[in-house]
Amino acid sequence: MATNLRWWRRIHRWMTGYRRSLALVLALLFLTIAVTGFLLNHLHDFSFINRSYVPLWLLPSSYSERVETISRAQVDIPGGELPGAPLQWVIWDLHTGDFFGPWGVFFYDALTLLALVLIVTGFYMLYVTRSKRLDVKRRK
Amino acid sequence: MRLTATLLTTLLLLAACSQKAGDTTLPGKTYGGEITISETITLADAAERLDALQGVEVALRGSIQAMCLHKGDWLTWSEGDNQLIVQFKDHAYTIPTEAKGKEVLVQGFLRSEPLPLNCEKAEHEQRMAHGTKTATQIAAEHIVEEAAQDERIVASTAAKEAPAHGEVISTDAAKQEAKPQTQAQEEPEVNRMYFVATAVRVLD
Repeated sequence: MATNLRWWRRIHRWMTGYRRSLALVLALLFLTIAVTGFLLNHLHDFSFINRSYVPLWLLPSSYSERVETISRAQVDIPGGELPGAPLQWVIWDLHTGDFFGPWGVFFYDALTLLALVLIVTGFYMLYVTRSKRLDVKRRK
Repeated sequence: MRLTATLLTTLLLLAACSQKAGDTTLPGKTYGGEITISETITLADAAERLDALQGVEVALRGSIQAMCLHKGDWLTWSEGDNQLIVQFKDHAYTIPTEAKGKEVLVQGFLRSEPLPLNCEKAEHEQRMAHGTKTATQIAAEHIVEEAAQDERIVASTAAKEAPAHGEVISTDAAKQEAKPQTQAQEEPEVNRMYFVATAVRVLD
């Protein structure tokens, strides 16, 4: 059992202990997904989401093309030119990973996999250490 | 903890501040901008004066027959042979999917073609078409296909519900009933118009 635990702990520590930058990225990813998820759930409650635009200089270059396509299509409409990318686009893309380009989704997948491993190893370690502690108590 | 509380309070305050005063004469909730035009035109009117109304802001009223059930970024309704497909300006806002079947008031601009879709999938499809399809053609195809799918879902749900009401339909009878529907789907002789809405009011 102890050998097993060491193995699990090594995986767990490799991700969080020795690779703190990875843990930080993971935490930021979850924060982004949680915040954007909350905003997506309340798209129709917060009207600022429907009216706000994000300046293009803050966004990846792919947004310029999308903004230009929609602006060109709305040329016959007064005020059809977009002042930036609508906030809703950015929220959706941050939530799905499209914000980081075509590889963004794979990046999210990889980080999700890491998070799953962390959860499983964490639960296993918690279970094993808990049962060990209980054994020690019983022996005493 | 204090930071989280401050962030949440700011967010709630922002939401409260951005609540529209809106026009209180009509029931329901407005999405996008403000409804400023009180007189509506019919779809038949719009179809007749489509060229004259280009670039002119108008308001129309109707009941949502089909809509995007994924994001709520388009809706459609028909009156006689005329069908209106409503998209939202800049793809900047959406409406709740629960609005399906409800009456809506839309304000915006009539167009003869739709806005291109705002998604990677549509861009990919356009690249795969090697220039044989325009972005607007792809958008039109997507919307029509989704609307048809939406109708199929409704039809299949209705078919599933029928026996629950004690009605037993034999397979032959069901086939006969299904035939005219498929024929009707194959003959889409509708005058399709597109509309870019600056504001949508979903009436209760």
